[in-house]
Amino acid sequence: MTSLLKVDNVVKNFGGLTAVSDVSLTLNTDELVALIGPNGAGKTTLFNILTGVIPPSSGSIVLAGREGTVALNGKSAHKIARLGLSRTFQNIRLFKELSVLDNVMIAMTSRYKEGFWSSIFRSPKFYKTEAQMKAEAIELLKIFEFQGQLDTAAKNLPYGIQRRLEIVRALATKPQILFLDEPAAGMNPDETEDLTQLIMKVQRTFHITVVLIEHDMSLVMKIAQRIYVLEHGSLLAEGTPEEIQQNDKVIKAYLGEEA
Amino acid sequence: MQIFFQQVINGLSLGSIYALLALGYTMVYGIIKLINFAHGDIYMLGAFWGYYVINSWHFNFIEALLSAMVVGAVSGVVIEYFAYRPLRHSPRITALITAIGVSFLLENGMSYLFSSNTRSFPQIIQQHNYNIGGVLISNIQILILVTACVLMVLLQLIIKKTKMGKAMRAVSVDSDAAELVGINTNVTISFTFALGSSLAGAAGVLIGLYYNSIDPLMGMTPGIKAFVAAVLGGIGSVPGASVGGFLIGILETLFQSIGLSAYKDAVVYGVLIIILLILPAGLFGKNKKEKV
Amino acid sequence: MKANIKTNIIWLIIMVAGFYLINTLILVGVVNAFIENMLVTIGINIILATGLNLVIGFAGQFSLGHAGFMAIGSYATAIITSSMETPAGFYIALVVGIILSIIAALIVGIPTLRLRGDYLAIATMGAAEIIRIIINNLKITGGASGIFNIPNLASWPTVYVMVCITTIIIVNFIRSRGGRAVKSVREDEIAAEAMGINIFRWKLLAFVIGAATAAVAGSLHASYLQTIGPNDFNIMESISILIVVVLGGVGSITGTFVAAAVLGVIDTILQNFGTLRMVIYSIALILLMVFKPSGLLGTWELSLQRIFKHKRKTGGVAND
Repeated sequence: MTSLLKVDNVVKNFGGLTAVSDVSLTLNTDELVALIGPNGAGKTTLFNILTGVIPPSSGSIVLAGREGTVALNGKSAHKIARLGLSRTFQNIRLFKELSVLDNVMIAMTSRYKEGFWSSIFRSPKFYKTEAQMKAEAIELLKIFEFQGQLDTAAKNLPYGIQRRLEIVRALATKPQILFLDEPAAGMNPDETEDLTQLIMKVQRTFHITVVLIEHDMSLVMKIAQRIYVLEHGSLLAEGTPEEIQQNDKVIKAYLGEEA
Repeated sequence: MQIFFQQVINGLSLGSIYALLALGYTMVYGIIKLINFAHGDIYMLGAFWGYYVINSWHFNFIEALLSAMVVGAVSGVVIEYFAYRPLRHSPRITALITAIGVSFLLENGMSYLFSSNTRSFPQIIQQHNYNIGGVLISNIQILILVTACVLMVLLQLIIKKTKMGKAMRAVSVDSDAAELVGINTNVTISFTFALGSSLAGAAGVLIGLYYNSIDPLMGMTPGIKAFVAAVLGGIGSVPGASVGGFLIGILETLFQSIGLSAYKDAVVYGVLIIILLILPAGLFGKNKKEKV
Repeated sequence: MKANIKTNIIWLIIMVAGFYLINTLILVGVVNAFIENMLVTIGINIILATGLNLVIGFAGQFSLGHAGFMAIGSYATAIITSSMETPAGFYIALVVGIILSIIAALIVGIPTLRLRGDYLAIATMGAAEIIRIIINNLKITGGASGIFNIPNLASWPTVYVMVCITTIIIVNFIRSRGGRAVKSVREDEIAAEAMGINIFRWKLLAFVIGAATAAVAGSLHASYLQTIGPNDFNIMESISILIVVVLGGVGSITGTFVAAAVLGVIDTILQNFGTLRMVIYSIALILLMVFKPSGLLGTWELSLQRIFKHKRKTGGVAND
């Protein structure tokens, strides 16, 4: 286990409001980390900063991954995605009108080069690349049991399956770190159980780092190896599930002063 | 300096017409997110109404203005009811094409029924020019400015102080939520069209007085310019539309006066593009960031 | 792989057959000069509208400035072929027009494609108007009166071939990695970026392809009509291209073909109605939109591969 992503003193201000203040954390290779905290603690904002949706006001984010050591702060989202940071969204953002297969193949766009003229004139290279992309996408979709639904439009999938497709889509970018933003939101206990298995399977099969934001504590305590707790934009605690469950500050934050 | 002030005065009169039109665009856009392409043609209807009632029924200025506002309001409501309401939940681009269809229908219907000739608008008010420190200002210009400003203040009062205005603001923020708290969105949208279109009707009579000539296609260009004014000011924003209208009027007359009249529209569009690049939601518009 | 070649060959056969069909009809006299003129207009509108459909329907970028790029192609052809009255001159002019319109599309697109929705529409409309006003005031373009007696170097076969080529380019682009990227931008920009898509680059590419095809259409327009003026390329022209796109179905190239044909025929029939023509046209437009809000074909697309699949499934009996 080596350190993969180092986040140092990241701050994000929106006007006068400090959404994330001075957060430092480290993500290691091949681990499952949870990010928890009350609503409005800045968890999603932190995800957005790390994946390049919004730039941090200050601080540094350094990735030491397959492409060597790269500073991520200030880089645009698509570049960060290509460097191996992929994500899902709290309010599912699939390409709704497009098929399951297209959703996954789009995530592979930057890893395959077809060449503009080659695709316009339908050269053998085009057909070859297209076939490769399709084969890879289908293989990935098979692992997650999408066989019969390749041509279904994403919007026509049941809610739980949409969440699953979003995870597959994120995996299709070949990430080193996968950020899952409340993957269990809106799910019933059965679906949550399936999802728990799925996340563990993803982490084990692909040996990537998975970071998840989640409110379902039973899920978090079950699968996370390490937990970071955010409150009011700053880091409150860090540790294993057992340590976090014992932590006075965390208990206070969740249950209020009287506890 | 005198020339400059002269042009500002001319620009303000022209701009007040644009502003009146822009208000209609901005209100309708604010409430149903539709670029009401037919809005400029309601202004044409207002001008034609004024032409007929003054010539045939010998209306005076006030009567002509008020009746043109009523005609504008009624046509706006009718158009919304038949052409836009069925499409409220359709793709926005469909509603836009329908609006373009309505605009074509009004322009060509009027040409077909009443011929496409240009007519000279009856001059019910004798023009006087006043010389104020070398700057010429006519009573018609003053009338246009005053009427436009009075109407804009009235509009602002309706929007801010009345129950209906409150409903309009509510529907434009979130029509589903407005419906849930008991606001009749259909009535509110009709009312918005009535208000906006009445201003266009008034603008039609005013432009008749100012330029002295009207024709069935007269609404096209000012319509587009007024929409540009609304975008410039930040579409959906009522003060933005007024400021945008005046700004475009002044820009146009200024560039005309320095001998660049062939390029005056290009300048207007150039300024529009530059402002949008700096302020993507216009001068007074709120830039809504999408929540991730 | 085999199936791909098969579909490609069938498409080629369809295109060649279409050519000979029109050719025969002209020889037999079924298609007279009047109808030929209509067919050419439909062809030019197809080129314009497929390009705009790529920008609006597939990339989701609401551009209202298509006529501006068409104007660049038209004027390049008019000016160059006026001094080079040879087919070579026409093709040189065509290429120059395409290059100039690509440059213009970059100048317009790089700043404005950051805008969204209706703001982009108004900015592109403004840019097209600026192009038109510049043309209106230049000497070389003949000012407000335009250019007359442009040599006729584009006959209906040229238009037919150009319709085929531009459609192949656009359809092949849509059905490739680039097309998927462009559609993802339309669906959700934030998600697309998070999946490694450089949304700005793809938007710009779609916009530039649209502009280049518009220049082709403009070039044909100038050479076939032999007379052009700045007012041929005003906002109303951009809007009439938009009407073809929306009427056919935003996001359906097949729909664009159908709509261009339907509008071309309606327009030809209505010519006998004199001043009533536009009144009927506008009522038809409103009714079509109210009763068919997603256009004639929605997002339906003619696909040979799907027909084959269907045949195989139903055991060779293709119905429906």
